[in-house]
Parts: sequence; structure tokens; C-alpha cells
Amino acid sequence: MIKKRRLLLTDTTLRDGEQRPGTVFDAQQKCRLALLLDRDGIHQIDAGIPAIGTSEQTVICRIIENRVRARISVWNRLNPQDILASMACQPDIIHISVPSSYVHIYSKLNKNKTWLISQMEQCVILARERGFTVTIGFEDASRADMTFLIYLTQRLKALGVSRVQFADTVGILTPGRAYDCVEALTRLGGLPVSFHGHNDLGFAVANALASAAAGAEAVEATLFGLGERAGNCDLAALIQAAAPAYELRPALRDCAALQRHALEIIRS
Amino acid sequence: MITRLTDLTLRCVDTSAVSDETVREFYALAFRMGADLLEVSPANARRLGAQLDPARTILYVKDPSEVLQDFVRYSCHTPELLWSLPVLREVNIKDMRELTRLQGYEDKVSLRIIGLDDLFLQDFRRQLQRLQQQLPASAELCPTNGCGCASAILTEWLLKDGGNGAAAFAGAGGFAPIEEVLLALQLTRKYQKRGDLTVLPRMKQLYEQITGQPLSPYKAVLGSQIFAVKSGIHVDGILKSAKTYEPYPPELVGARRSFSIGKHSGRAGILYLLQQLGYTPDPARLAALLTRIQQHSEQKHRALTTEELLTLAREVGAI
Repeated sequence: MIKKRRLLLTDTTLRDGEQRPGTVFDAQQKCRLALLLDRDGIHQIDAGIPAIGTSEQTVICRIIENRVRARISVWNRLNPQDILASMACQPDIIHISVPSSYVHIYSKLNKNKTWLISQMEQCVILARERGFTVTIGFEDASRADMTFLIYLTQRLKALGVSRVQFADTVGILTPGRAYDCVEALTRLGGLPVSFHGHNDLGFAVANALASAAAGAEAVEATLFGLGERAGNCDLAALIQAAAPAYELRPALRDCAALQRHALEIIRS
Repeated sequence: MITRLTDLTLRCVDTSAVSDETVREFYALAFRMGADLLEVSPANARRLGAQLDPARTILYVKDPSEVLQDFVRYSCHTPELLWSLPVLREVNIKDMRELTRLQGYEDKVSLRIIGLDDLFLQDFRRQLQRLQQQLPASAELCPTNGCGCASAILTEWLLKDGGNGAAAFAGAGGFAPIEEVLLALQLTRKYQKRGDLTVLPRMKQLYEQITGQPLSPYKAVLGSQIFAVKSGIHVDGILKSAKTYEPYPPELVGARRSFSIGKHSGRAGILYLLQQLGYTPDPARLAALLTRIQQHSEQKHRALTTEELLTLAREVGAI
């Protein structure tokens, strides 16, 4: 029998999933959902955004305390204040989101590439000097210049970053394009790549599978596909589609129970 | 260049719960949306009456007794039964290894390949190329949605050097959701118009009446909530430039953007919403208002209503 390749799954229900209008988890729900995913073997949990404030930080700290095996990551904007708030929670991974398309850099941030590189390196060095594992998310990567992303990845590798995430923030990728982008970033950037997809065209699962085929080490998803607009990649749908070719945790056999228990928690 | 895209919705759905007018309106809008041909069941063909355009409609039949005359083509799993008619032969292929079965068909010109759910678990480009080499240009691909990838498979098929495909509105019958395919083609080809996607909200209404089942508010392309924005950072981004966090303008699919207030709302978003409501908020009280919004949203487990926002804003002295 051919041994299946391991594909790491990151759940971002507690962070990006909660962006869906009308979805708000309280502290208890967040802790229970994290524990549920952890017990079913999820590799990484994106637990939240410490910069939101003390109540969010308290929840994240509880999730870290209760954690069994999962790696707990926290999300940060590209500024040192966010990183400091995250470091206080002592997470396993500090994940820094780097707006990478020109529309994000020039229109949203009103900055330029020089500023972005300088700010990115400042934030990474801040976290790395304190011994944290750092991953970088290229926000809106699907609309970014691939040459720029590869250049950023090479610089990040030199700074000791563990992984970069290719984010299809607005969900416009087709699987062919997802494959090409992830393949190029993996081959030329020199760091492991994860894929974060949205379902605006209904392609989130297909894009995750295409990215995995292109060499992505990990893919992100949320319970029930929660997330803004048409949602993120649905964790159960992804597991169901990918299980014949990949070794996954949670396993396909545990998916139905996972969804049932998660629904009970969300409705509680 | 795409040669032909067939909509299978009226082949799959039972329309007995709605009026003939509803079926006719759906039929007309499906062409406006961008379908080249529509495939219908005999029952739905009869309901369309004089509006039915046989030159642009395929009749789906299970046996010869269902045949109605003058259609451009007929589709059937067992075309031998309809030997004298122009028939589209449907071949179910679950796995690419089954492609060898196609060698058994002498007439490959009128084939429709149904299935291929798990194409993305393989080298999908190579497999699509293989399929293209084995099939004549007139053949049609109709992926099924067992792995949630049917619209992506069909889009990849149509984006290569052309080809024909079949899909259904909102994925009816387990086929690819046609609205996802049409939108993807339009966006990938830099807004090169194929049909008018502003008819989608009306088609959704009609489809929900026909099936009696509401679609998810978060259904890709069709959901009523897909352009609602809650998150603070995203509201800020959209206010600066709508392109920042939107894949395409809502108006393209006949929708509108809306903002909601919740735990993740930020200063820019709250300021904008209050100004839209006719108030001039006190900037010094916005931080206090944000804290109260976070607390209230967490207590209620949901986004806040406009009335709740105004109440909190008054409580903290922001308005």
C-alpha cells in the first residue's frame, strides 16, 4: 500500500471564522471548540487576535493552558504593539499578517514597499529575538506580484521565519492559478508554504487541494466554512475530499462527530 | 473560447409546487444569465408552453415514451432507445482510470461525461489534457459535486483551449453550480461579459420558490449575506477602497454591500456607520463605545442592531 502524504491542517474558526457577521463566540465556547479540535488531532489552532484587548488575551491564554497537542498561533497586524500583546500570551506561534498586494499596500495602508519590508523585518526580529516561532501570512497574495512575494520569502527565511502563508483573501483564485502560485513560492522562496482560501467563487476546497498538490505543507480551514462573505474553506468538506490521497488529522472517521459536537458548542 | 454551456436546472427540479409563469420566468432568465442551451425534463417542457425554444433546448428523457418532437437534441443514458433522434449520450466516469471505457463508443461526437469528482486529487492538468485528447471538441463535460469541486473542475475545463460544459443553478441535481462557473469565467477573463449576472438574485428567488428550500445566506455568489461586512479592519479597508476586501463589485451579481456592528468593529467602521445615520460622533468617546460594543456583542453572541448601537453610543456619550 502506498503511504499517504501528511497534510497539516490549521483551524482558523476562532479567528477568521468569527469574522462572519452574526457570529460571536464567548470565552467558554472558544475554549471548548479549541479543545474539541485539539483532541481530534488538528495540527494548529489560530486562536485569536491578542491586540483586540484583555478579554481576548485571557481566552487565548486559557486555550494555551488547556492545550493537549495542537500548536496555538495568534494573529497580528504588521505593528510592534500587536506583537507585544501576543508575546504576553506565550503562544506557540506568532503569525504576522503582511498585506502584500499593491491595492493593500498603497490603498489600504497608504504606504509603499520599502516601508512594508522595513516594518515586516522589525516585527519579525522583535518576535524572533524573544525566541518565538514566527510565521508570515501574505494577505491578498492572490492579487500580489509573485516576484515580490518570492523576494519577501527569501528575506524572511534569512530572519528565521518558519513558514509563509499564501492567502487568497478575496477568494478569486482558480485551482490552476493556486497551483502555479504555491508551486512557485515553495520552489523559489525556500520556505514551507501554507494555503488560506476563501469560498467566494465556490472554489475553496478545490484550491486547497490544488495547493496541496503543488507542495503546500499545510492548509487552513474553518468549522462549517465559517468566515466573512461566502466563508473560508470548510474543514469537513476538505477532509472528505482530501482523505483518499492524504493523511489528515482530524481523520475522516472523526469528522461527523466533530461537526456534531462543534454545533452543540456553537448553539450553547 | 467556450463553445457551449448547458444549464441542467429544469432537468433536475420538480416544479409542481409553482405556477407555469414561475417556470417560464426562470427559463428566460437562465438564457440571460449566460447559458447557451437549457436542458429540461418532459414535465417542465410541457409547462413552458409557447415560450419553449426547441432550437435552444435539450429534452432529457428516460425512455422513448417521454419523447416530445422538434427539440434540437435529446439526452439519455441509453440512446440506443432513441435511435432515430439526435441524442447526447451520457457516460458516467467516476475515476480517470475508467476513461478507457470511451474507446467502446464509436460515436464520440455526442458524448456528455458525467462525474470526475476527485479530479483535484490527481495531476488535474494532465488529466484534463488527456480527456481533451480522447474527446472530440463537441463533447461535453459535466462534473458532479461529490467533493465540492465541480464548479472548479468545469471552470478549469472551459478555461483551457475551449470546450463544452453542463452545470445547474445552485448545484441542483449534484452538478456544478453554474453561477460560480459563469462568474469565474467573467472574472478570469477580465470582465469579458458572457451573460448578465444581475439576474441572479431574481433567479435565486424563483429557485427557492420552486424547490421550497432557502439557499444558505453564505452560498457563494448567491448568498444574501456575502457582502455583509463586520470586521473592523475590513470595514476600514473597504471604506478606503472597495477593492481591498471584495473579490468583485457586488453590483456585478445584482447585490449590495452592507456593514454590521460587532466584536471586531473598529473606529473607522463605527464612525462611518454613525455618520451614515446622521450623527457626528465625539471622537474622544469612540474608544469607550468600542469596548461597550465588544462586551454587548459577546453577551448577545451576535452582531448589534442599529438601535443597539445608538443606545450604546448615547450611554457612553459618543452622540
